[in-house]
Amino acid sequence: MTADSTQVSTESSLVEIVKLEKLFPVRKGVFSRVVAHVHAMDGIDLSIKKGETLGLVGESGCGKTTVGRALLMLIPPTGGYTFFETPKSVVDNFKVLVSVRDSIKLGKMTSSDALRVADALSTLFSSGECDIADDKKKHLCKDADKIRESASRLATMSDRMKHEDDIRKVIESAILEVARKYCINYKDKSRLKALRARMQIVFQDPYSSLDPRFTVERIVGEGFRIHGPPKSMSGDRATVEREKIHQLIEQVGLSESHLTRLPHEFSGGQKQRIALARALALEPDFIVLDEPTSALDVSVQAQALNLLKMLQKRFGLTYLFISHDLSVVEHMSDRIAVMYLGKIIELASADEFLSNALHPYTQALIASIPMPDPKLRKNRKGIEGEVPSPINPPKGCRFHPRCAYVQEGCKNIEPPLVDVGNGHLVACHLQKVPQRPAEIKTPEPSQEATSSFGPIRVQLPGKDA
Amino acid sequence: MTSEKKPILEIRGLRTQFFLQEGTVTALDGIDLTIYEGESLGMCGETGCGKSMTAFSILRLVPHPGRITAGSVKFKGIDLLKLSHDHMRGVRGKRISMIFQDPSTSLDPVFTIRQQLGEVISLHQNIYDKDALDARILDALKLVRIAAPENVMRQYPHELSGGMKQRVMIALALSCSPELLIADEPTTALDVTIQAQVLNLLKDLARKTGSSMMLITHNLGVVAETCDRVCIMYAGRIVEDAETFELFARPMHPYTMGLLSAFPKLGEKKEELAVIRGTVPNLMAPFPGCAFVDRCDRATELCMSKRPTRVVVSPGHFVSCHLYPAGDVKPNDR
Amino acid sequence: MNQTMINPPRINPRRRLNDALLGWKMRGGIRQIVAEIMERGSKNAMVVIGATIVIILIAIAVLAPILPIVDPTLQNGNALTKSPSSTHWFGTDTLGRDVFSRVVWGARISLFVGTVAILFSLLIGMTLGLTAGYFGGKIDYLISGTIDLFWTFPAFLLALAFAAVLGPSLTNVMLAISVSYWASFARLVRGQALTVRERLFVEASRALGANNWRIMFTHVLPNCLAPLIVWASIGVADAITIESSLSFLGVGTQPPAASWGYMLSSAKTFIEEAPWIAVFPGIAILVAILGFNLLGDGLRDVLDPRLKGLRR
Repeated sequence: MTADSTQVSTESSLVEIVKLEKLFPVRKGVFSRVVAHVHAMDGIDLSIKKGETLGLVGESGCGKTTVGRALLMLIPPTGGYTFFETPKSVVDNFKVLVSVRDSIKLGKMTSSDALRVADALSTLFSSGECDIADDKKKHLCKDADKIRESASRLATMSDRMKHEDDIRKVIESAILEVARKYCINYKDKSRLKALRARMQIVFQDPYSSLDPRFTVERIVGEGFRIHGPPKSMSGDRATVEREKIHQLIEQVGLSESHLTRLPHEFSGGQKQRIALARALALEPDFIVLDEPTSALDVSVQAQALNLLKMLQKRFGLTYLFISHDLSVVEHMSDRIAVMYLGKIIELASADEFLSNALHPYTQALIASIPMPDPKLRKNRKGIEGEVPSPINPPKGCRFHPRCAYVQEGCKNIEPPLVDVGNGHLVACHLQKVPQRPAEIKTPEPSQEATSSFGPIRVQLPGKDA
Repeated sequence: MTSEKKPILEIRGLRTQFFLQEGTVTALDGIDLTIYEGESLGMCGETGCGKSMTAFSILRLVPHPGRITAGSVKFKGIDLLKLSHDHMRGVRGKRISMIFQDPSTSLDPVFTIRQQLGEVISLHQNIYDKDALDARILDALKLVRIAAPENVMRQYPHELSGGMKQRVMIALALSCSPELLIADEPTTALDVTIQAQVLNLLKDLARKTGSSMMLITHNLGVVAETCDRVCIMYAGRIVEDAETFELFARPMHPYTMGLLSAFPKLGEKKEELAVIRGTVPNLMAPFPGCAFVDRCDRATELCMSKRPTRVVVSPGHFVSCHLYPAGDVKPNDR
Repeated sequence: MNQTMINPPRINPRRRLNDALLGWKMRGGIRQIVAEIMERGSKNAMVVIGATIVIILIAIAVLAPILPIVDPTLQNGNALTKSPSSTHWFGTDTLGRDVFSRVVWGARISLFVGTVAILFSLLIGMTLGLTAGYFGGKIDYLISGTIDLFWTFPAFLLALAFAAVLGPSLTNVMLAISVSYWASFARLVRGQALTVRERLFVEASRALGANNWRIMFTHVLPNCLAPLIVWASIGVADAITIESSLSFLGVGTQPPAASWGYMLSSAKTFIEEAPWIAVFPGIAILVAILGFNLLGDGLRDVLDPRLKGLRR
């Protein structure tokens, strides 16, 4: 549950996600009562460093698409915190606060936790890291001191519950203060708009991601209509915009003559280039690539991936590369994260990933991929059972119904995401699982895949979900 | 390696064209193809190369305004293109059946699985007794390894997952023991773990029932895993076909080589993927020479003017490329 | 010291559009729709016939005052109930008025009522439908409820009711048509907006930082227009029918204004002796309705499959 990631890096990440959550309500019946939730994202922790490509893989229903959109606030998350370009110390201390808050909720708080909280609070508010109103700061610092004082007496306190509750309240208000100042999903509309220029997205389906009634020039230049002309150039507005659009078009490998044409005159690969040009127009630092090449042919995909790499080097971009295709992700990414039913179950560098995948699901995923080399033909059986639905996921480890190595403990306790060294995170009770291709399990009645609810209406994200 | 097997399907010079207002699109431009008994052939190529259209042409399901304008399709000696509509219907589903790409749209949503399977089985096998039919349906579902077939029988397509729907499609296709099974991108819409299951299923079933299989896909990995022979198509023409091991070990045609290097392979450390420059040609504009000429690094004058013929480069390995001038073309091998 | 920095001139985007050398079509948006219609419509028989009729009708209606025809209200005592001749192409009626000129002026009334009423309801319906479809939630609930309410009013009966309550007049007819028609347009646009707002380019716009109004009017609305144009054309045909029927009953246009419907009603007693007084206005109504219907149906063929078949 808590990402107990002891990050070794000393520089701050560009994007930091803390316990991000998105639940869609499932309504049933005449009065549209909420009967269950779709756990699209269930407490995701990720940090993306500047200039790197983080790959996110998973199958349908795992929630990877939701992550990309929730980051950009296209789907407002129902919980959690997203940070962009926030100083490392703020984020680290924030994570401490969040983890201790969760410990309190579970009743597992210790005195060392209290000390950590106190330190975190002091660092955040007394050293001017977090810029909030002075009186609030003082208040929180005083609270920090109080907590520190009483930390050692915690175990022996008579009114321990109340005390813990008080601490929790302090933590909550501190979290709220930091969130209001730094978190993307707490920002109001105007500040969010300014931030949008720095975080962009390229979608999977090139056919519907371009307005069929807009010319290419209008599509690429839409950002300027909203945010004003590009600031890196000087001159009168129209010329500057036109120049920038021409630049962008050439950078993605199209030509000026394409500017006056309409999207339906282009092929899939070219449409993706236009979408890329649109994303680059506002000179963002971070781009979410949501399955950008899944709809493209192999040879076109190769061109697109090379282009993405080239642009990343040239402009120092940071990518979140979401895909279900592990080969493509492995080719593009520095680090890879695997999602299953709304949780991250493994995260490692690309090299480590292939040579030492630890989670059984990851191993099975790698084993299922058909390799374009008949000499490698093995009797791969994949994983038995169907991909389950994210409505009411299984208790304990979410993968346990399909796991070949399942034990008793797996069925009740959810494994936390732990660092097994080298920044390699796994969420599995049997961390050091020997690397074998997934074994066959006797197929179980796959009732999970069918909807025993009968006709259900899932409330999908509308404008005001 | 191949001479003992009897050919089950022989296509010669097949040409399918679409007559549009804007012009004529030649979707298939003279295809020569042979599928032998009990083997699985992979048809590989990118969008628009004509691989699905080959399947539709074999079954004479070419949508309007398309028409088969030339060639012959001999299924066990019978030219399918010359059959009457009624005879063709007898062939479809019973002797040659097809599995389509998207399982969610190929099953009728208002009928249960039992009704859909039952319709096909009773039509082709003339079984009308309810119990016998149910037994056959259960057999078909068990054959495709569906758990709890009695429950699944009573369900509607929307209550099943993608993988299960595809299995039902396979059951539908195999219910009448066809001699040739055509699978059009059967796993493209499925998750990779389910894909592995379905492909293994297809392989096992084909082997068990002895039927031949024609697997259409754009994924070279799928082809490498599942097929005995591979056929690479480009712009409505077959540019290379060979046994799988042979093709991957010694690709001859520049397009095949380009395709293989453009495919990102797991574990291979590459900075850049090799790219085939240019784009797929416009099928409306007729090109006298080789279709690949604009994108080929080794194109010559000859390639622009003359269309390459299909030649043997080694037993069972055929290429259409001027780099390999016409050698001995043994008629029996074709 | 230098002057204060001169602000860069605000470039009028319209001027920039007009600078394009490649023609209207290349500029997207509404112009694209118009250009598409003209290009593909010219190949469609229904569109050509329908458009021809409509254009002729509009021309007649607009130019009526300056055409060299007799005053429609002029009662010529010397030429009562004369059959068609070279001086009176359609003959005269019982009061000596020239039928031809009355038919021409009738076109003016019918077209006026038809187009204005439909335009009005189009504007209302489009705005409300777009808002409901795009925002969803409570707003949609409210507007949809209102749509459902107005949807049930049959235009004709409503017009009768209006006439009864407010007195018969042209304005009331137009009002009645608008009141009942806007719901159809709203429903249509709402349906379209619901689909369009889910398309990825809307999300992409949002990711760029566009606010709701911009998305609604630059992205969603132009993509909703096609079916609207079709319906509007057919709606005008409908409106002309209603106006003619009401005038026939005497609750629409009041004499001496020459409305086709009124001409029909005053001629019905003379149908055997002087058929021309009824036949010509009748044909005029027929032609008008036919023209607009053909145009609408033809446009539907031109626009809808074109929208779906944009790929390849």
